[in-house]
Amino acid sequence: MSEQPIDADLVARARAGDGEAFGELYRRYFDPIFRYLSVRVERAEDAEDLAETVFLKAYRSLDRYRERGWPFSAFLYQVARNVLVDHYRKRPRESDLAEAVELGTAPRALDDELVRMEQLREMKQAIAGLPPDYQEVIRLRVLLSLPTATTAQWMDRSQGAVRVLLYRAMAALRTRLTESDEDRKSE
Amino acid sequence: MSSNERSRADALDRLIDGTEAGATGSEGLGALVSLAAHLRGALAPATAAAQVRARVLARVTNRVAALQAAPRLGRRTILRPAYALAGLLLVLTLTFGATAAYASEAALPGDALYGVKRGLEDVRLVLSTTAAGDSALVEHFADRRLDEIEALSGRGRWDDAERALQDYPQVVDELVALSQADAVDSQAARLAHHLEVLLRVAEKTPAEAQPALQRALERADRGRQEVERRRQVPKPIPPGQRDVEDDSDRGPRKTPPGQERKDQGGD
Repeated sequence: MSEQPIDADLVARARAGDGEAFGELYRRYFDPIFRYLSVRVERAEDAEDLAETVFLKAYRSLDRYRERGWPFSAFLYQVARNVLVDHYRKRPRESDLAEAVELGTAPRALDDELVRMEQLREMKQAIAGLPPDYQEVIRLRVLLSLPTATTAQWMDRSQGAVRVLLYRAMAALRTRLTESDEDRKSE
Repeated sequence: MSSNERSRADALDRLIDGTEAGATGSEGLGALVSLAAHLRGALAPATAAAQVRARVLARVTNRVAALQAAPRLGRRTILRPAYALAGLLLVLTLTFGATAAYASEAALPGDALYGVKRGLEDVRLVLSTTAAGDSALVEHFADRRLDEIEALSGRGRWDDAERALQDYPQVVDELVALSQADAVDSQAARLAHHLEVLLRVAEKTPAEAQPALQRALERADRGRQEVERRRQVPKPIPPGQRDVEDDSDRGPRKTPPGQERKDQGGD
């Protein structure tokens, strides 16, 4: 993601009321922000609503954004995190299984689907049991496939620190999954 | 952190990016790389479809256009005078004590302390750091303007009431422009309440102030419709759920405010 110095110019133009400039920022960063929101909420329409809120808040907060080596995508990411906090406060997460039933899975595929849902649930549960920074580095580096450099900017850490964090997070996740697998076998 | 851990972390990083294919077993990192691939396959979100991207952009653009249509409301436009006011208020407070600021809370348009009351409101807006905070304050201030109109009309101060009514459409502009997407219901209810109060005021408004009152009524009604339309902005509704969502979101069609009171005989 090439962010400097063009982002700073776009932000300055958007701040001066240039809608095209803000549109360019939107085109550039909608995908990573939308995908980040998508892994944090269960429903696609929630991700859309939240993405709208993120970009609207970002537009309204352009005056508060100062470049200073902090890329615009990292600014958007912080806005997205705040929006998610508000979202969770208002609406507790719903269970995947309930959603699957609601969607009306075809009867003949139900067993397979339930097994798949159970595996997904275990994986999500294992990730949710990790420390927050472990969860975040897995989301950004593994699920969103963001480059280490971008992840480092967004998480405000050095690239080396992100690499070590990812290694520890993946090792911890593997341990948790192995343990839950052994627990299930011993039952 | 040991140098061994750092080198394993570096290797995992390259392997996950696929820049070092085929070396998974060499450092015992194969299990972690497989796990990463499994996670990506199962949990990675899809890239947004072009439709989604365009739909959200349209919604953002509409909201931004609404903000730009009311330039007076922009933080930048209120910032400088409000800082000047903040300074003035600080001087006032140091000179006359906090009593003046407190007393100004009950001031009505035309009162000596009314300027202080409005100045304090601008300062509160400047000190708000979030869009939700701005919106909540503007809602609160809009209700205050309505209360002031009602109080002035109750006291027969029609000159002041007329001026307040003339300013009222701008109050609705601010309210609509800064409203949050998740507050459509409360905004529509608020504006419906404003319409009810203005209709009550209309019953005793003298002829000279009627034009200002009618403009205020029209703006409140249009504002309510704008907010309602915002709720109806195209939203991704899965096939088969349209009727259910439409009904649950909107509820039964409401009788226009004012009309409802007459039908029910008032209170």
